[in-house]
Amino acid sequence: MDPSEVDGVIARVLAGQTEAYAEIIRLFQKDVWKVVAAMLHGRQITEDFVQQVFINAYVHLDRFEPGRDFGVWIKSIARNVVRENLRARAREGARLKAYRDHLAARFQDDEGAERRERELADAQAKCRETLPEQASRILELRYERSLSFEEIAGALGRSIEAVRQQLWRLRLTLRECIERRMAQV
Amino acid sequence: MTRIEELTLKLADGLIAEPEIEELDRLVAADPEAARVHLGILDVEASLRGGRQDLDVTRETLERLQRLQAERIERGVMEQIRSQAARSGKPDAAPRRPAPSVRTSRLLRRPSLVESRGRPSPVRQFAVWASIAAGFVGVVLAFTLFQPDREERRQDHAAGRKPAPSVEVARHLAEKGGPAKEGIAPAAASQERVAPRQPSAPQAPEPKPVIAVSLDAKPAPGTVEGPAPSVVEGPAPIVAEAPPQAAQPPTPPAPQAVQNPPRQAVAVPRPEPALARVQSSGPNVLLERSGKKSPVASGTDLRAGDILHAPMKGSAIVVYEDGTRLEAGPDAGLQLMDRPAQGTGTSALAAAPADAGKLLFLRKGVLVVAAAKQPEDRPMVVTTPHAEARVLGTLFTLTVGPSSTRLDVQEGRVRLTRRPDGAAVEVGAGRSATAAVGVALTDKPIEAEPAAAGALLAEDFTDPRAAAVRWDTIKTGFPTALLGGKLEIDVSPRPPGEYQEDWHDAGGLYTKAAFRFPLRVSATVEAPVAHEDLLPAIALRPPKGAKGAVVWVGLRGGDVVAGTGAREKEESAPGSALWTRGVRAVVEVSAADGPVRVLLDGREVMRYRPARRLPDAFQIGFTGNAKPGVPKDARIRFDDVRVEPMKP
Repeated sequence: MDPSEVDGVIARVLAGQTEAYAEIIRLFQKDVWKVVAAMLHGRQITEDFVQQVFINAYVHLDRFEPGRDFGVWIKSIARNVVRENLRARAREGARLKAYRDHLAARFQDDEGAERRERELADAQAKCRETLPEQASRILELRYERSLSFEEIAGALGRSIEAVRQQLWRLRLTLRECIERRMAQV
Repeated sequence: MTRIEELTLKLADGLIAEPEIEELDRLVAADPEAARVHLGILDVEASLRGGRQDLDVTRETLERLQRLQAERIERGVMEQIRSQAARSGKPDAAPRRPAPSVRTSRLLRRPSLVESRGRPSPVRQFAVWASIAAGFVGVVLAFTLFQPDREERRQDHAAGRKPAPSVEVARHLAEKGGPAKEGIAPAAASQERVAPRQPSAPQAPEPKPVIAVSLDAKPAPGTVEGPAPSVVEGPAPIVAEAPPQAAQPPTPPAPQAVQNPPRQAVAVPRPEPALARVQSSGPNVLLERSGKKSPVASGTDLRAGDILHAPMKGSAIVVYEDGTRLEAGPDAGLQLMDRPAQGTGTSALAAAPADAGKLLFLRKGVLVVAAAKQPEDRPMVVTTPHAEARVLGTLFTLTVGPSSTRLDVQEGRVRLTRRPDGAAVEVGAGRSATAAVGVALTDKPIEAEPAAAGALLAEDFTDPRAAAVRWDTIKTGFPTALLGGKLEIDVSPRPPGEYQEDWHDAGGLYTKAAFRFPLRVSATVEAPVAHEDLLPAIALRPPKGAKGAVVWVGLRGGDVVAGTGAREKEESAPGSALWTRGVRAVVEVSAADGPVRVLLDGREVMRYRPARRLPDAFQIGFTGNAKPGVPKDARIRFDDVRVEPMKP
C-alpha cells in the first residue's frame, strides 16, 4: 500500500470508521513488533506492548501528518513505549542493567535507531543466506514460527538438547557474521 | 563457547538460574569485552525475534481500544458532572455516591425514588443527576465509533491541517504522558489545543423532558409504545469532543419542574429498556437500530428490535442480567426482541405473551448460547427461518444456513421445532439435530474432529460441537462456557453461602477420555489479575471408580502452586511479577513416574513430587477455583490445550 493509500485509510479512521484501523494494524504490526521485540520479553507480553503502541497511535492519530511515512511514525511511538518500559524496569533493580541501558541509548535517537535496525536486518539476512539449509530451517521454526525447543525437536526428529545446542551455535555464528558486516558498513 | 556466551544464551532462552543471572551481571560489569559480547548476542536475539511471521494482533487491539474508549468517556462524563454539581454551590446537590451505571435510568422509574410533594430530596436530586449521566453515557457510548465531528477531523486531515485533539485524547495524554517525539505533545499542550474547539452542544436534545419522564412513576399510557429514540440517530452532544465549558452537563431542571412535570413532557418517547449488553465486540460487528447500521462498542446496551451483524471473521458477546451469555458470529444476524415479531416465529412462539422470556431471532450464521437457568413459564426462545429452539438453561450452538438450521447441544436439553410443519425433537447433551425441509428431524451424536498430528488431544475451543464430545463440564453453580474460542469460567463474586469451604471448584472441564503416563499437558491460562483468592489450575484425577490421588498445578497470586488432593503437600514457586497486571502464561505439566515438572513460557519453575501415588490413568481437567474474596468480574480462561505423549 503506498503512502497516499495509507493516508486515505487514516482519513477514514478519523471520519469515524474505527474498523478501518484494522487495516493499519495489519499493515504495520510487523514493523512495530520488530521494535518491541528488542525488549526480549516473552511472546504474550510483547504482543501486549504491540497492542499498546497501536492504541497510543490511535489516540494521537490526528497528529499524523499526511504524506509522511506512517511506518516511521508508528515505530517512533513504539520506541517511546519501549523507553517507558525500560524506565519502569530500571526502578525494579540493577539486574540486566547493561542491556537496558544499551537499548535505551539506542532508542534515544529515532533516526539513528531506524538506520541501525535497517542495517542490522540487512546484515542478518545476508548472514542467514550463508547458513546451511537445516540451520536456516531451525531459525525459521524458532523465530518466525515461534515454536518451542520441544516442538522443533518433534518436527525435525531430533532431541531437545541437540536443538538447543544447535541454536546456541547458530546465534554465535550469526553474531560474528553480523558484526563483521556491520563493521564494513 | 565462553562462559559469557553460555550465560547470555541461557538468558535469551529463559533457561538461566538465579545464581547464574548474578554471575552474568558481575561478568558484564567487570569486563567491557564480556559486555560487548553479551550485548552483541542479545542484539542478534532481538533481531531474530523481530522476524516473527505468525503475528496478528488486530482483533485484540481493536477490542482493547473499544474498551478503553468506553471506560474513558464514562469516567470523563462522570467527573464533569461531579465538577458541575460542586460549582452549583449546593453541596447536597452534588452526588457523592458511586457513579451510576447505565442501568440507573431503569431504576429511576421505581416509585421509591420519587417523592410526591415538597422539595426534592437528595435522593431525588441524585436521581436527576444520575439520569443525566445515564443519558450522556448511553449517548456517548453509542457514538464512540460514530462521531459526527469526526467528519470535520477527516476534512482537516485531508487538507493537511492538524485538527485539535479531543478531550478524550487530551485526558489520555494527561494520564499517560504520551510519546515525546513526532509532535506528541505533553498533556498541557494538548489541553490548550482543545480550547478553541467549537462545541457540538447546540445539537444536543433538551434533556428536561427526558428527566421528567424518567421520574414519572406512572407515565401516561402510550409513552412506552412510542417509537424508541435511537441514540445512534439522535444529534446528541459528543461530550468527549467538546471544550470543557461546553462539555458540562446541562443544567438540572428546577425543583418545581421536577415535582410537576408538564404533561407534554410525558409525551416525549422514552428509550426502550435495555434487554442485554454487548460485553465485547470484534471489529466490523455492526448494530442495526431503526434501520441504520453503525459499529458497536463494548458496553452498548441492546434494546428490543436491535440487530447485531457479525462478519465472516468476527463475533460479539452479549450478556443478560441473569448471566445468560451469547456469542453471535461468525457471519451472524441476530435480532433481540421483547415480543414475537410477525413472521419470525412458529405458532407456539406467536402465542407467547408480551412478557415472555428472552426472545431472539437468528436470521443467519452461528450463535452460541450459554443460558442461565430460565423460569419454566418464560423459556428462552431462539427462532430461525427454519426452526425454533426453546431452552431452560443450557449450552448450545445454532448454525443457520440458507436452507437449514443445525442445533448442537453441549449441556442440558433443547427442544427443536421445525417450521412450518411443527415437527419437533428433544436434543440432549453431546447430540445434534438439523431442521430442513425433506430431512428427517432426528438427533445424532456430535462428531468430534481428530486431534492434531502427534497430539493425543488438541483443543482450541473454537468448535463447541467438537468440544462437547471431548469434555465433561464441572457443575458447581458457576457458569462455564466456551466463548470467543476459549474456555471461560465466570468466578465473579457470589454470596458467601455459595462457596464450599476453603477453595470452591467454581467450574471447568475434564477430559472424557483417560490418559496414561508419560505425557505433557499444556494450555494458555488467563486471569484478570493475580489474586490470592483466584486459582486457575490444571488437574489430573483418576477416572470414576479408580483409585489414586488428584494432583493439580495452578497459578495463585504471583506464584505457581502445586498440591495433592485438597491441600496436601502444597508447594509453591515464584511465578512472574507481571502477573499483577493479569496472568497469561503457558503452563506445561510433564508427568511421568517421577515428579511433575511445571514450566512457564518454556522455563522450568517447579518439580513437584506428589504426596501420594499418581493414578495409572487419569482425566485431565482445566478448572477455575475461587474464594469469596475474589475480585469483581473475575473470569478464568483457558485456551490452546494440548496433550502430547513423551518418550518413556
